[in-house]
Amino acid sequence: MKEITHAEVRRIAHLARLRLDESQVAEVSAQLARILEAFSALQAADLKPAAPSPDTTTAVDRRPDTVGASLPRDRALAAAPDVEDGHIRIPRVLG
Amino acid sequence: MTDLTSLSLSAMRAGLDAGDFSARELTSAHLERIAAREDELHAFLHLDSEGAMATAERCDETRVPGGGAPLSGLPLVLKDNISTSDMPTTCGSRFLAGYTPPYDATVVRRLRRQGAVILGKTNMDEFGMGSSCENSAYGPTCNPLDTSRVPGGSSGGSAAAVAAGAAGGGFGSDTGGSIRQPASLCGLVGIKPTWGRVSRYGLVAFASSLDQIGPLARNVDDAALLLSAVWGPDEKDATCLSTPPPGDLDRPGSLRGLRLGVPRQVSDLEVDPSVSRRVDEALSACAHAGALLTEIDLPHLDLALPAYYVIATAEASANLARFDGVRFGARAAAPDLTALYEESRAAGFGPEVRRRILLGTFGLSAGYHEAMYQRAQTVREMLRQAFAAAFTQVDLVVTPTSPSVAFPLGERTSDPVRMYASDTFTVPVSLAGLPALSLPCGMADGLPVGLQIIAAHGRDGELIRAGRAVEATLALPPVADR
Repeated sequence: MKEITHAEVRRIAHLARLRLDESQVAEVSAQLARILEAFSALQAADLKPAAPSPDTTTAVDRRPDTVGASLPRDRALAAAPDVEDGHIRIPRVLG
Repeated sequence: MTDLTSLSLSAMRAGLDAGDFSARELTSAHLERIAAREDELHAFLHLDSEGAMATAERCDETRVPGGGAPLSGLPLVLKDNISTSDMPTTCGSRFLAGYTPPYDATVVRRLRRQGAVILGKTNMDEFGMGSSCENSAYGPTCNPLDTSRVPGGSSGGSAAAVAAGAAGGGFGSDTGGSIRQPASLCGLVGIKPTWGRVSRYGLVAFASSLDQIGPLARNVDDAALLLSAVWGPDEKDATCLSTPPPGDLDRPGSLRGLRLGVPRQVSDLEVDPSVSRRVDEALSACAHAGALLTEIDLPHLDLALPAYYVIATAEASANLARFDGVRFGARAAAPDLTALYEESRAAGFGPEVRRRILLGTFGLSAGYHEAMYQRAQTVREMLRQAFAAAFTQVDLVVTPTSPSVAFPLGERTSDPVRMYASDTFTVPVSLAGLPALSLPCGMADGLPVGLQIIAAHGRDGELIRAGRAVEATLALPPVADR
């Protein structure tokens, strides 16, 4: 559990869509190992699963599902880095 | 003439209402103070002198003789993760350099409606991830009481601005202690309300089940004034409590007969002896004033820190997925979409944010989910129940806010684990979703020590009244940097 291989760090970085160069992989691997070691009490503790409290997402009052005003397109797109004809442009995804 | 920047918010209110000074004079005095201290402190990421003066002018023009709206003309600051449609909101991140949100956070809307003068946006650890304000992509903020030390974090910019007299009060956000710890380190009062008490609409999310907006101010009355101006149900945040907030905040609090619980497990955790001494003395003073001190059990208090870091980083890894270089923020040039995500995020995020995203992704990944995330959730539930059991015996629970006073800049930046330990006493409260405040309880080595007072779920009103009573009992001179 305390060992985090470089391959594992690369796998996690890919899942998180974060590019790490090789020196960062080594650094992150050492740091994560140190953090997990410091947190090892969490693994070692004898925990009795407690009956969960009511889920906060079901405890909230739900408002009626009515259509309201939404953000105008130009304002929604104002901060996008690449816009064309009212759409956000990204690199080609297919073919 | 009185130094207007040294007044409490309630004294500013009284002075404005009596016509002793105008909102313009008050705002000018703060802008001058900012000009005098900002080079040294770096509390601001964006200063809106023009907007602030224009709001102050409107307040003066519409002033009702004898009494205005509660916040009208009061100079305030906002942490830079609270969305403002007329000012950049960078969250202390390079990723959001120059980003101006298309709408105001609910908190901002409410502040504007009440005539608050918003001076600017304050520095913070990137996306709220830090306990010293050193993880900002724009450089650290210094503690105005000793500029070689940190102001705490992540709401360090708001805390420094208020402590320096650069603002009358401010707002921060608290995920694991980010209001309470800087309040403690800067000699201020900071309140983290019950989770859901204040709308999170427009607060850039770090860990949604923990994030909560709250005030930083020079005393309990000021903090209560700010909090009550923004709390309450909001249809734009479905997790906002639908019950009305407490209404009788002005009622004086008394310590007589108040049962204060002191967790016996606190002595197992690492605390600077000088901090412990000040907290013990403050509790003795409370007992002398009629409070009943009771030792209570909070089992698994030592597991709160790892559980918090697993849960908060897991939520952060999901929340920060939105920063992908497509709809807002920095975009790196890349040949395909995956590379665009990976490169934009690598270039935009600082080291601590990267570390937390990776730790969170790890804790949720196949093979580790059970050992990390699920166990952390179990600890969270156990803590929640332990607090609920404690509140059947006592009215409030008290601990130090931070295990140490403000530490030197650079002391903990190379050791994340040591930095995380700053949050030992604040994260258990966050995991349980409870309201808590930090107030000054004395000085150690010339720096302020904070006392954390924790109330039962939803009992924000009792918390504020008790805080006021403790503050009156301790009757400390104001912490001044000048």
